[in-house]
Formats: sequence, structure tokens, C-alpha cells
Amino acid sequence: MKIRLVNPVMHGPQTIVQPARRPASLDRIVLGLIDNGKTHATELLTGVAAQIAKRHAINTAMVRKQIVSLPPSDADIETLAKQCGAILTAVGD
Amino acid sequence: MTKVLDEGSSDQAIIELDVDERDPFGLFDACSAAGWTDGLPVVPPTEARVHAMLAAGPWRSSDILLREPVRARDVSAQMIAANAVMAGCLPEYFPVVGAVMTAISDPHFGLHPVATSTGGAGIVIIINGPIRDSLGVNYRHNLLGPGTRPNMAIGRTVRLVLRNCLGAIPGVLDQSTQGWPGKLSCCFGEHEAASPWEPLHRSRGVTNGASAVTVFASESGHDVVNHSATTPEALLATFVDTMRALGSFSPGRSLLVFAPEHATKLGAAGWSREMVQHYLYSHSTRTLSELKAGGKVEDGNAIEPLEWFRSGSALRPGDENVFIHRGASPDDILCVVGGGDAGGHSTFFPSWSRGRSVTPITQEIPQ
Repeated sequence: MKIRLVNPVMHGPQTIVQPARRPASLDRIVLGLIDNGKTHATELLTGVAAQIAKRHAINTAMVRKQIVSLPPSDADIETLAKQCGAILTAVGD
Repeated sequence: MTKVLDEGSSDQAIIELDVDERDPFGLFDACSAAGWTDGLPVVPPTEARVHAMLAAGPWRSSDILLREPVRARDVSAQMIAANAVMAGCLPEYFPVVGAVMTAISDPHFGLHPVATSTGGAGIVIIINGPIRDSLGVNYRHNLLGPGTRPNMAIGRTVRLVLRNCLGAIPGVLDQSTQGWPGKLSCCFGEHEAASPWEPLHRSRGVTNGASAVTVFASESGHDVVNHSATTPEALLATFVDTMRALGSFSPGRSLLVFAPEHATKLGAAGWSREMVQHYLYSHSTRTLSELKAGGKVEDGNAIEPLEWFRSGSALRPGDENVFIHRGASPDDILCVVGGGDAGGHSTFFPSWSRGRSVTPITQEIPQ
């Protein structure tokens, strides 16, 4: 015997998000760093950026979120969009 | 055991379970094996039951009732209705369920961290207005505990939706360190007649005669016991002592569910809700030196804009004279009334998170 049921489970994203175009190289770009504000986020991000800087000629620009669970401010997003060729973000609790 | 009818998609509307529908234990086993449950038995979401649920609300099956932007999840009314059926909702509960989904979709509510963080938040749901009585929502004895169908089933629907539609499965995306029992359901009505103050939803802008839900992402509740105080100040001293405890101290919001006995004492003394909020905010403080000594101020922590929270952990001269409030203003303290007529037992719910991540949201329930 079988029973037909309405599926209560959603498995995947229902909204298709188009990823940003990836840079061909990290050389001579500004790497944006989005610090989520938790205790070790800065340490983690700057450490990763330092490792990348050993291989590529990058500059960095960092913003720090005011509230960890919400996105960066519109102003910070606009600033990063204007300046940066790539973005890194991290959770460092 | 589970078969997807159309193999071309992972999210099919109808699926078949290989079980006899006359076998309740077999059905529970099948739903449990499919990963759909919170550990308790569920009502199988047959097409007829889901259609009846949808028919009780103003939404079409394809309408989006829940949006979670971080993981790009748009959850349809049909999906919500299926989970409401499983949770044990009657169809007439569905307008309340839909209003709760709208409320927790508000970006200021911050649903993704509520569903996933180590903090283990539960979503407290407060129901106000005429729908409270028409559904039989409990607002009196044991209102925070089990025993009443709408209280349990509406709250449980939220938990099942978070699990089944947002992937908030313990140990997977739900990374709660411990969680608390209210994550199963924490839904109750306000005892409006026992309150000396305007009902919560009216104080938050909902028009007279309308019903509403208010959602609050919360840690577990703390009992505030006081049977003998004869003045508002003496009574509220007990609340203050609970609210300023280091364990839950944060710049976040507070929800206080005043027992009718406590609310009556405050009302009889002429204390308005605003006076109570102001008193509690003014007195629920710790010195900066206490917070630093207790490890509540972390080096490098910038998760909130409040100066004390990012001032660094090192003790400095004068820290003992700097008084830090719980919350950022008296308005951060929500005051409602609920419970049985007898007993000096109120409850303090601290907002989830060590910061100010959560904003309570009030949403009118469609008629």
C-alpha cells in the first residue's frame, strides 16, 4: 500500500543568484574584506589576505559589519563595489 | 521507502510513501525515516488535508509566505501548509501561521542566524486580539507549557518549517550548542483582560479589533518568583536582579511575561507600561568592571556599535563607575501579561544572541 503526500521538504535554493564575474587574476586588484564583527574575524581575514599577498600584488580594503547577522550597510556595499575586484568574507567567532 | 514521482526534480510537490495509511505507527515511522519530524509523531500531509489548510487562509498555494534571503529560500504557502498539517494544526490556525511566516521573513528579524546559530534561539510567538479566543489559544494557566492544541501546533509548525524548508537540522545547519525546549513550540496568547496596560499589539501599532502575532527570538525563559512584595519597586527589584544576571547580560532586547498577580500589583499602584520599562531599564545595569571581570567584553569584538561592547577586555581605572544597561533603551523591554490568576511567577525571556541581532516583529493576522 502507498500513500500520496504533499512534499513538506524543500531541498534547494528557489531563487537563482547569478555569481559575479570572477577576475582572471588577483594581481593589482583591491581585495575587499568583509569582517562580520566577531572576535577573530579580523585576525582570520587579515591572515588570509597576507597569504594571498605573498602570491599576488593586491591592496586590501576592509569593512566591518555593525550587526553580525545582517548584511553590510548599503554604503559599505557601494564602496566595496566601486573599489574592489574580489571580496573575501569570514566568520571568526 | 520514499519515492519521488517525477525523477526530473528534487523538489516534487507530491511524493509517495510505501506504507499503509491505516497504520498510524507505520506512517510515523515512514515520516520519521524520511527526516520530516522533530522526533514526535506527525500528521501525514495528504493532499486533502493540505488543501483544507490552504482553503482556510487568503493565500494561493504558490504564494510565497516565507523568504529567507541568506540561503535564497522562498517557501510557498503549500509547503507551509504541509508542515502545518504535520504539526497538528487545524485549518483555522493557518492565517496565524501565515502571519508568523511573514513576521519572521522581516529582514530585521534575522531568521538565518536564529535558525542556525550556536545561540540556540527559540521563536516565541505572542497572539493578541479576537482570534486568540476564536482559536482557543491558551493565555492562562501553564500558557508557556503544553496542554493546548493551537499553542503547541502553531509553534511547532515554525520548527518543522525551519527544519524541512530551511535545512535547520540539529548538527547540520542548526548548530545550537544546547537549544532549549521552547524550540519545539513557545506560542501563547496575552491575557489582555488581566493587563493594566494596552494589549501588546495595540502598543505596537495594530488597529483596534484586529488580531496580530508578535515574534521574538529568545533564549530560554527565566522564572521571576516574588510572592510578597508590597510595592512596585520591591517587586521590580526581583525582575531587575534576573535581568542583570551575567549569564544573559547583553545589549539585546527583553521580553517579560508578567503573571496576572504581578501585573495587578503594578496596575493598582498606577504604574504604566512606560514607567515599568523605564524602571527596569534604569536599574538593570552592571558596571563595566563587572562585565570585564566576568568575561563579557571580548578583545576585538565589534559585533555591536555600542561603545562598551567594543572597549576591550582590559580593566581600566574608572570602569567600576561606568554603568552599562541591559538593552539600549526602555523601548527594548516588551511587557505582556499572561498566566493563571494565582501565583507570583513571571518570566523573563532574554533576546537571543550576545548582541542586538534580533528585533521583535508584530504582524497583523489576515481576517
